[in-house]
Amino acid sequence: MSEEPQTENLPVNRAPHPAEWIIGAASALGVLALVAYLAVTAMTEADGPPDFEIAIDDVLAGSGGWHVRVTLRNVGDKTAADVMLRGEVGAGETSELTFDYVPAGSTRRGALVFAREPDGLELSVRSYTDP
Amino acid sequence: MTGHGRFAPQTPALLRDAGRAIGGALVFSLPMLMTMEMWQLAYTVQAWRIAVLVAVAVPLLVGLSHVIGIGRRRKLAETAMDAFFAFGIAAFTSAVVLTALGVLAPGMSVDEIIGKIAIQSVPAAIGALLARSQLRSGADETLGDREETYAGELFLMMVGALFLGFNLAPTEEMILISYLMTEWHGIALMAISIAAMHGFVFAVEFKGGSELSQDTPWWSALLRFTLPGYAIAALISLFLLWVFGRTEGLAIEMVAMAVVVLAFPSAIGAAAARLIL
Repeated sequence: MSEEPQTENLPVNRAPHPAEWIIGAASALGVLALVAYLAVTAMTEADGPPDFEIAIDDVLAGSGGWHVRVTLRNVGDKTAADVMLRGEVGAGETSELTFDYVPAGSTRRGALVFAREPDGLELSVRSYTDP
Repeated sequence: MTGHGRFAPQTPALLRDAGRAIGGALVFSLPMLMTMEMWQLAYTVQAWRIAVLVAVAVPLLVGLSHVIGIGRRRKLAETAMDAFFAFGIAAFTSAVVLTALGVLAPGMSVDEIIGKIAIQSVPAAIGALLARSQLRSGADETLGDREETYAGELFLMMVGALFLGFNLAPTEEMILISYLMTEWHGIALMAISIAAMHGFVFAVEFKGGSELSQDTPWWSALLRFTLPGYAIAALISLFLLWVFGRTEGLAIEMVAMAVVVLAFPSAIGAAAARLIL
């Protein structure tokens, strides 16, 4: 770093090896593909609100109660934040769960815990915010 | 602990090297040592991802040690020794600092403690290794003699991208930002990243930048250096997001956006590495 290297000796100014062009072309294609992908996604994107699909993965008996493991999928077009999921069993017991972010097309997992065996469990998203 | 200043000439070589390495590890990793998300990764990410990170970091450090390795040709064993020395110093420095900050405390599981140290050791080891070339005193400066090669330049860009990407990848903001942006923002950010990279190295004549000779057109430098550099930055970004569990359950277009967001600092890191190293 003490001496400025000779300009002609820098790798950029030497006669390029064919591999440099191949790597360069491959990189250019990759970058263009990413731009094209983003552009196509942007143009085909619908502008609807978030929408949710809830699936129960598993119901496990833990020491503190019954764990209902759930997967929440955002099948809408927009990302939702602070998504509040509520589960209600017939007997009147409720349990709540909040997901920080559920991006469009993405899934998040978590669990609701109930004191008694959750027969007739009803799950619903009660609120969310736009990020 | 600001041990990267000047040592009296009679300081034993090993002690002096260790001191420099600790200094480098601190300078390079303090922002991460004091970031909450970095600690949380130790228990939010599966252990095998951290193992993959370390497994990738070791050959990278050996390579870095080789590329910045001074003037004379050195044996692989020597280069590897340097890299492992740096890694050891990095783990030691991380353990001491995290303990002093109360981040490591009794009652934590062994997995958690090892995870916390292992994640921090990677950027700290890069710092420890660079300290020996960058923080050396003027008398033993020999780095200018290093012969630059195309592969070496690409490799340095990878290290720079990994380092700056590492600073930002664990934070919540990388993902949050990608939710705020539309795809058009993403495309604009890619253009800005590439323009900044190219400008840094070739246009604004920073010290250590590369001046294009009259026979080398700008598009040739762009195609052969800047675009591969950006591609490396994007791939490193994807790797880091994956290691830190940020791609989990994420739709593919969201992953693409997060990569574009993280590739911005990574690209700047890649360009800066070519200037500084």
